[in-house]
Amino acid sequence: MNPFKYPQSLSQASLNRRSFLRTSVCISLTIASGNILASSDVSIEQLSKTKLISILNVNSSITIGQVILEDPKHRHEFSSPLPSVMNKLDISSDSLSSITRKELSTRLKQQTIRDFDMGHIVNVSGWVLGHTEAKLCVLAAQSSTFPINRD
Amino acid sequence: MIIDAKTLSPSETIETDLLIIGAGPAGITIAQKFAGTSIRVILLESGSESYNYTAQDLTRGTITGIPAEPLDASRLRLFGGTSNHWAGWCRPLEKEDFEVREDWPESGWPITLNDLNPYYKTATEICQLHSHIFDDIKYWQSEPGGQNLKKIKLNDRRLLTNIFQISPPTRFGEAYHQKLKQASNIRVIFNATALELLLSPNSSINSSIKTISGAKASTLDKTEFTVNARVTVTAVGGVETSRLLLLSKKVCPQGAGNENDLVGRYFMDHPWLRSISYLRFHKPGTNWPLYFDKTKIANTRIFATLSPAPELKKTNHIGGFRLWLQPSRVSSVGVDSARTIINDLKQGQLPDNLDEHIANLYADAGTLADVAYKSLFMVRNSPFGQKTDPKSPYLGSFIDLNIEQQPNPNSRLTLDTPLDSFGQRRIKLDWQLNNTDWHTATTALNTVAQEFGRINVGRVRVPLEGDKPNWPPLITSSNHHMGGARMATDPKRGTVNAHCRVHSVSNLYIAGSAVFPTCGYANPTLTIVALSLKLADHLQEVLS
Repeated sequence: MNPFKYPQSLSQASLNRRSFLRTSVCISLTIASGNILASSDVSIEQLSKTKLISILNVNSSITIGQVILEDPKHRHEFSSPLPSVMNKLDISSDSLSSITRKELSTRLKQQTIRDFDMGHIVNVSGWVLGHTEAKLCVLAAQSSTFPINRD
Repeated sequence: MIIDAKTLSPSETIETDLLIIGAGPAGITIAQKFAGTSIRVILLESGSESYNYTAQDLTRGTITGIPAEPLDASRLRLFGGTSNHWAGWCRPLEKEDFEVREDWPESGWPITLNDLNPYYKTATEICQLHSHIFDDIKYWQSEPGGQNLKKIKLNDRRLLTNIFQISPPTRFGEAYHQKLKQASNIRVIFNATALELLLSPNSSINSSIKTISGAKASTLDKTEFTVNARVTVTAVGGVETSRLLLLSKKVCPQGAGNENDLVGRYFMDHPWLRSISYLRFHKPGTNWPLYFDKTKIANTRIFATLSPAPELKKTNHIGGFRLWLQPSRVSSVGVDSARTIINDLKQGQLPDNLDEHIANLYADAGTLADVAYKSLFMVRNSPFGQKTDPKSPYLGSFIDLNIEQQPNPNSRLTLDTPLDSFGQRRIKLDWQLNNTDWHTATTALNTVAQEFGRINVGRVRVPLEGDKPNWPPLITSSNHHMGGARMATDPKRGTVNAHCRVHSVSNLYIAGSAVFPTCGYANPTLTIVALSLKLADHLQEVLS
């Protein structure tokens, strides 16, 4: 028997195709705008989540976060991302208000580089992302009912 | 001198010292080393100086298992052999490719890189390369045209930058034609297909070590003749070597050198995943000339690939690999195919090679999604409707992957049922990859994604996932036929010894990549030439 399966066995095809295309568009969009951590133009002081999310390209991040949450492989690991993200970025609820968005963005960028260095990466519909940036995307998806600004 | 076998008398017997079967890179390299010596050399070539369909048809065979390039397209039967369509990529094997690895079955050559190094140096001259230096970036920077070459700063415990030189490429038949023609001790015989090796009348088929008398050969119009030689070298490539040995049942009922059922086994190629990944740059315009361009230094072009550091291989129990980058502006294979399909549909027709275009779309889905988005929302002139500006900045890079295949006894060449025009059984290739090969491929792609993320140049799409092999439909071979008559000290583990002599035949040698016990990630030709030079040195001792 020929062990080669053609072509429906391609793992990419076994992924949710719609999610794959959606993620590809969003990765392209967020990366094209600088990187996945690119700042949006929003300037808001709201809840901790909202402040963290504000350093992302929001629409794209929500979509990537939704794709992660829809994937049974990742759903559990990424279900409660806020404590982990705050820990990774070395911030507390108290200190968050005094940290600028630029500083947050810098910390996230440094943490993402550390994530890649340590192999803390996740494959989201084919795209390889750092854990912390992926968790932030999940945070954005979970918070998407909040009245946050969209760029 | 060069003659045509048609000029020989029927049933003629030619006496010589050294018979070389096959005038490709290996056979020509050995023959030219004997030019002007007192050793009489016969070099048999199945084809002639130009392409001949009847000769080429002898290479046809069946492929099962992983789809490889067709056997009659990947090899050439004419003077110079497969070098006549060689792309010219050259690089020696790595030091560790020769060493025993506890986690790599059947690893370890009976020779070391040091044994081969002097021959590699001469091989670079034979392959008309600029230098025997490969990875010293300062050397290339100091050469005219090399000033802008810089390495990407990657973690050198994971990925290394390894430099390839591209031969002009050397067409061995053309390059060494005069030298062979002018050598009075060498006779190159065209239209001479070796049919089988012959046992010496003084030897017994039951002996543990046999002697052969030479080979029976034939012209394409079936005029047979015999060459008697003190020593015979088969230099017929990584597929035909196994076939000729298996066809030679007068030497051994299972085929010459096949007492231990090893001939044809451990066939290897470099599985090739074309444009398997895509690196999307954070900043358009990222440019890495050493990796993107084939920079011309004197008469040689060079470029770099990314390969695993020894530590990465050891930690992950994987083989070697090489990743090379193909920068993309906006256009890509997928975009080009989409454009072709759209244009043809507008004219009420379908493109000729629709399946290929659809495969391109499939492989390139990520970029297409990107382009489609831009077409709809952001860019006035969609890339589907316009040609790419050759000066526009690179937006990303496709990533091609070649991996080192693990030696596998079930990946093998056998004789098939269909017969060729001589009534001889054709070859059948059952190319098999295993779980380790899959693990090598996925680790390679995840590592490059990790490294490009770490240096924050962009993000990489890796479409291979999972622990079980699930090869994408676009996988193919690299036309690097290796193994089938592997080299090992122990006759139970290999067909030839460290001198490339068939263990069970005292005067039969094998030149070429069929003897590779492991294959590394580098293209095989430079190593084939180096090994052939080493063999020629040995044969000079034997014959004198």
